[in-house]
Amino acid sequence: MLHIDVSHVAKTYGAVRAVQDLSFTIPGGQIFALLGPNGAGKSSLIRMLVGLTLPDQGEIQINFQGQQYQSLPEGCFGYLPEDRGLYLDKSVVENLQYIGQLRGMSKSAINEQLDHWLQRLDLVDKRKENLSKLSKGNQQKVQLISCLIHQPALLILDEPFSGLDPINQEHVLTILAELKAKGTTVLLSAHQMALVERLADQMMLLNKGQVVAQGNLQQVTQQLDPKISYQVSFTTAIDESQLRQCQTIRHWQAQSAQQFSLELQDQVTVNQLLQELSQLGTLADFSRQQPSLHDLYLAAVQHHNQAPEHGLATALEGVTV
Amino acid sequence: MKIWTIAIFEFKRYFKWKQELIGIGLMVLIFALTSLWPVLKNALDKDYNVAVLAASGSAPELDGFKFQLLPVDKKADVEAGVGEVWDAVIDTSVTPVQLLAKEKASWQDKLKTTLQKWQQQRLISALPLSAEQQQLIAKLPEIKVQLLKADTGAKDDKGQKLVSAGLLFLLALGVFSGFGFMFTAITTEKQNRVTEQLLTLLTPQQWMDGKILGISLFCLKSMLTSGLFFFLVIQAFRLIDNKPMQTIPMSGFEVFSALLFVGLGLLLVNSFMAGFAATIDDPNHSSRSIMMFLPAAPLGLAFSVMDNAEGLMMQILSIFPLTSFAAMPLRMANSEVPMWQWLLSLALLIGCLWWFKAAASRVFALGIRMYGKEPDWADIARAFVGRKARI
Repeated sequence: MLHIDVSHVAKTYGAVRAVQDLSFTIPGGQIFALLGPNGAGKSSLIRMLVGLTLPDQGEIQINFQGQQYQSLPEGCFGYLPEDRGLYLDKSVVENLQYIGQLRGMSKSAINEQLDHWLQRLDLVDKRKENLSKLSKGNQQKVQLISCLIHQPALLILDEPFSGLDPINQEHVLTILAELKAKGTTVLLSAHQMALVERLADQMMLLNKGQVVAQGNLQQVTQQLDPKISYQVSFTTAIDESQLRQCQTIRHWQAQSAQQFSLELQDQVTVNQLLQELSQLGTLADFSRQQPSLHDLYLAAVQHHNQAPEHGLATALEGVTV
Repeated sequence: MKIWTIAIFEFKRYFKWKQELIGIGLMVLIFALTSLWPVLKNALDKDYNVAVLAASGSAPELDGFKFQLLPVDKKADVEAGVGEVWDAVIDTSVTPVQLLAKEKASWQDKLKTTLQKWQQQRLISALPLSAEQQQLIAKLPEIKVQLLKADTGAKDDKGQKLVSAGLLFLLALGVFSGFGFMFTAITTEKQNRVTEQLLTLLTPQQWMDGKILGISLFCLKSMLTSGLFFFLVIQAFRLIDNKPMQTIPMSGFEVFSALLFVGLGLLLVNSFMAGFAATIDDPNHSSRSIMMFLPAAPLGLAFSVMDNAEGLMMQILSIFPLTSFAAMPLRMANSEVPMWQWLLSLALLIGCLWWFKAAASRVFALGIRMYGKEPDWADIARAFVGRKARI
């Protein structure tokens, strides 16, 4: 397994601070997701990891097969760049054979892997077609095969789902889950929060080159400390002035005369809330609204953008979902 | 190993059997048309009818013209037919001789030149001289060349000129092919972002070396196949004309030397092109594209001194490493080169190539990872002289 430790890494392009003092660990055999809006620093971070650029400060430590490295050892990783790039005037097979040869694979090993992945990604009938003739989604799948063909210990995928239809997104999701099960470490950046939520063991939310939250989904949720809201429905219409009188409710939003979304005052329990609500009328339904990663992401980035100069702690205060 | 993988890939990228055959077919067609053109032209062009008013003597002779001698007393009738019966009338009864035509036309210059010689001959014949005296005046005097140093063999001047022109043409073909392939390959790879993935598999140095090797080999192949093709066509035409086969007035060593210098020269030129092409972000809008023509300068310089193969300038150009790949083969085809000069030139060329390739790879590494902008001239200069750019 391959394990990565990044400590105090920073990168500046002219006046732009693309990455600011980032430290994190990618445990071996896990799927680690980098999240963030465009320009958050995800691709800059990935480019430093794969050695396309050098960090201005900080260091990257790689632990692979019991050895320590300062950069990723040759052949141990596959990289899917954000800007896709293969030879459009060459066929699928020619492109992949060339990549395989450059990775030092034998012809028989290349052909074996080619047959497997082309079959797996439903590209067998396209193998002799030039890349320029393929759809964007199929080009994306060929690019993905070029990262997988040598069975790397680490996969670094910058926007792997872009250009893929929902069926192929699921397909790739399954493949990544299988690779993880085999011990492959995966680092990916993506905007498809629903997919990341299902896939990632660890995640790091970046904005303007800074960490907004990191950890597993539960930890990220805790770090962002979202205000939990509850959905309540009454059997009859409720006068909003009655809600105003409730001491357990900090904020509410009426969805209809019978249905409301509520936020609790601090230190108030759900039991206390229910007692007060039952005095207003007969409850038809009551549920806790669980924020999705998508909601957390939007809220956190919005707050961070509003108070970038105050740093992470300030940005996270009062994140409401 | 990776360098060879890249070199083979780059070679095959441009080597396509179908296109090779089409290329040869086109060359055959061009040769056929060029050869048939005079025949076709003569068949289509009409002969110009020219009346020559002269008391006596013979009429001039010129391809494409029909001359008819007529007595001077028919001048009025003949001149009345200008533009209809006659395209031109030559009146020798007046001084200077008069050429009468309806309007100015390009064929008149050709006719005028022939008429001058014809009239000169007539005037000489009219002088009170013996036949021998007349011949002395009319014929150019002969000059016998005598050399103190024994000539190594009968020089085939025509063959030497053919070899020089051929070498220069093939060099231009190689250099401009390299320019085209390298420029389009690298700028397209940058635009298609192929670089991102490949640079995680290769160092910029490996990539550039493989690319230079593959494209230089392809250029050399193009030069050799074109040279062979032209040679065979020349032989075929000589065979048709019942002329002896054209030989190449070069020894085995001279051929080997030419291939060596040209091969090293292509590597040198393509190193420059690879390094520079990597600094161009968008070939359609970059003002730097014109710089890619710079490697054609050595060819121009060698061409300018080709007529004086023993001259000091040719000696300098054939030793100076940035021009020797073009000048040395030309010089060797036309004169003898002392071995020490040959060895010095080769050593300088290899040394220059070694340094130049390293410098170009630093520029390549700087430019190949830049998207959306180009490194400025100061960055390029710093990389070229040896400072590693921080990326």
